[in-house]
Amino acid sequence: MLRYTLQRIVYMLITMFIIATLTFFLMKLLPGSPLKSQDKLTPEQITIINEKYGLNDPLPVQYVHYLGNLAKGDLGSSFQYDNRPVTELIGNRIGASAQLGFQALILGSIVGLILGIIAAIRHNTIFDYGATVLAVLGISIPSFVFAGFMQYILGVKLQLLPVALWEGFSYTIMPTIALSGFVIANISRFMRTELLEVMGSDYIMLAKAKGMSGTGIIIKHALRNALIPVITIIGPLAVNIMTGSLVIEQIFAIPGLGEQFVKSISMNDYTVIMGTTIFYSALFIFIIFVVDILYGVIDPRIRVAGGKK
Amino acid sequence: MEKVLEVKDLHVSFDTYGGVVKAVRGVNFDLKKGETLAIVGESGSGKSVTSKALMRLIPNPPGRIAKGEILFDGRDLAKLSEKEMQKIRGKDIAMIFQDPMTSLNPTMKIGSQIMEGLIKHQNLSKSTAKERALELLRLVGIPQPEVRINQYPHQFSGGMRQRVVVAVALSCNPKVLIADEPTTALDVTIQAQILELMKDLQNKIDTSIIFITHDLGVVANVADRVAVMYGGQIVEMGTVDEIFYDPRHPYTWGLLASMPSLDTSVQTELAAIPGTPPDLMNPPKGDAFAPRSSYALEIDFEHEPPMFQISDTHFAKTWLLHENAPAVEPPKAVVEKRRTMPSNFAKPRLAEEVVL
Repeated sequence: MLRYTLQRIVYMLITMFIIATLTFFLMKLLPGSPLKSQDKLTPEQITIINEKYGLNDPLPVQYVHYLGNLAKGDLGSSFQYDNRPVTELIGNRIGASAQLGFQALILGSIVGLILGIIAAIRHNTIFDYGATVLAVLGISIPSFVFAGFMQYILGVKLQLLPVALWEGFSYTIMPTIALSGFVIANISRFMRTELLEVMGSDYIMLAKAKGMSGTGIIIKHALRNALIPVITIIGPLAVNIMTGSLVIEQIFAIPGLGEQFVKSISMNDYTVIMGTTIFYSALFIFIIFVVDILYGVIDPRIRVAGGKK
Repeated sequence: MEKVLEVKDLHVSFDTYGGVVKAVRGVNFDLKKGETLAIVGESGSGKSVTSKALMRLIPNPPGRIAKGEILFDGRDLAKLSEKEMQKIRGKDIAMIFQDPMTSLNPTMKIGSQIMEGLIKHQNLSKSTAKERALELLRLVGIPQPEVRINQYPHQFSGGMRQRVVVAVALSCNPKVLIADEPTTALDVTIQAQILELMKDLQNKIDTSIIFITHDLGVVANVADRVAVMYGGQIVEMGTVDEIFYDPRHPYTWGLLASMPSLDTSVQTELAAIPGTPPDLMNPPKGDAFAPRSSYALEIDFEHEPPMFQISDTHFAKTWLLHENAPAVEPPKAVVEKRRTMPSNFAKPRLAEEVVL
């Protein structure tokens, strides 16, 4: 297991390096500069600023410089927000986004798993069809439509929950539900399919032949095996939550990372765009890493394959 | 000898969208203490369904025991509740499945899979169960059981896995062991080892075995008695000698003639049984084998043959044994091996009443 984990960490670092490199060169390909719109600056001033930020250096020098800073955890400073370091900007905004994303992922996984298990155990009954309808709605209705709908019903009409802003737990409920809809739908569908397949396998028949009871078989034999493939889709779903939060944060006026990211793109704020991209990628790679580790914990075949027999 | 299990007029049906598939249509047999009964037949003959029905492992829906009794220990298993059945499965009747590669849980340690039944049926503590599991692994010939007990199925070869499955099945010293083609998925040398192991263990714990197979070579090796199934019915049943040296049913002849033996020369062409198994959604009228048989009589297409008795232990369901039937010559391969059975009756008798 240790060797497997170390191997994953090395892969993680390699992926991170490739993403950092791609981000850098893609940014350089973008037309425009954060300084062009500033009409008040004279050409001399622009040259001075370019010189200060090292933007006149040849590309390879800039690249090495950038990688060196990155290794130190320095993402540069913003051109727009009073020269404040990008790390600080991200740090100020990450709290709300992380809480929202985490809540949505947890809620989505738990509800999704429960729905999926019920649908599989009571398959071809009213429970199963109900779960299917929920899943179809969750996949086909975009989160922002659902969000607006909830704001109108729960916030405006019934006045149960605050419509927007981020000032306490009750403010997090609606955006969390809106973001988790897609996760619930996907996980429940996947879980249902996997569990049904596992329930039809030979080892479940053998467990029955041993005299195990129905619930005992599901808990001891079926769930763990059905979870293995389900775990893999948590990575992509986490990405979905991250991108979804860009929109949801706007709708609920949440001061999160997504909102700042969108703004920095429209202002051509190089360092913030690169910094946030790198940050999002790092987060995503980390989630995949966690998923890989979970995979190893659940499936002995993977755990042992990496280590010695 | 004492009867452990008695199956009477068992019918198993599957309700499908296309109609009712009558997979087992009136099977009768009994199983004596310590004996091995082989059930042979081609795919779709109902042998696996029969064995699963004995343990009530037919998924319902779509499957159901439509009629009949399964008498075990004075109780009719066909009528027990699921809860009561759970107490019998694994404890009194155990099962070994065909494919060892898929019949063990890939995410559970071998030891836990063996201990599960012990803890459930014998109320053993974890540590006693573990000791018993070690003992079982040793018994089925797995080296280094102390190491192996903590390993997962993917760390075992196919033959070793089947040994583990055998250990699981035998953990509670069952009275009946149902082996559903336990060697089909194994290569020949491993097959022989597993068969040897099963015979050996049968002597040790005095269990009765129902051995399902389509391999007559295996049957000759392990069985005391043989039941030949065709189209959801037993068409011939007898001791191994009676089935191999004095077969009476044309289907049994076909099976035997299609099997190579040591004296089969290179020139001899192995006989195949023409045609395909009957459609059990609409079973044919009369004898289900008649359309594929070159020995079919006119009556075979009209009336289902009754069971005739050739000796105390030998039964065959064919009109050829009726006193008015013409004498026919079985295939050469069968005639060459034929021996006179001293215990045969002077003339075949009807084993049941016939209503024409």
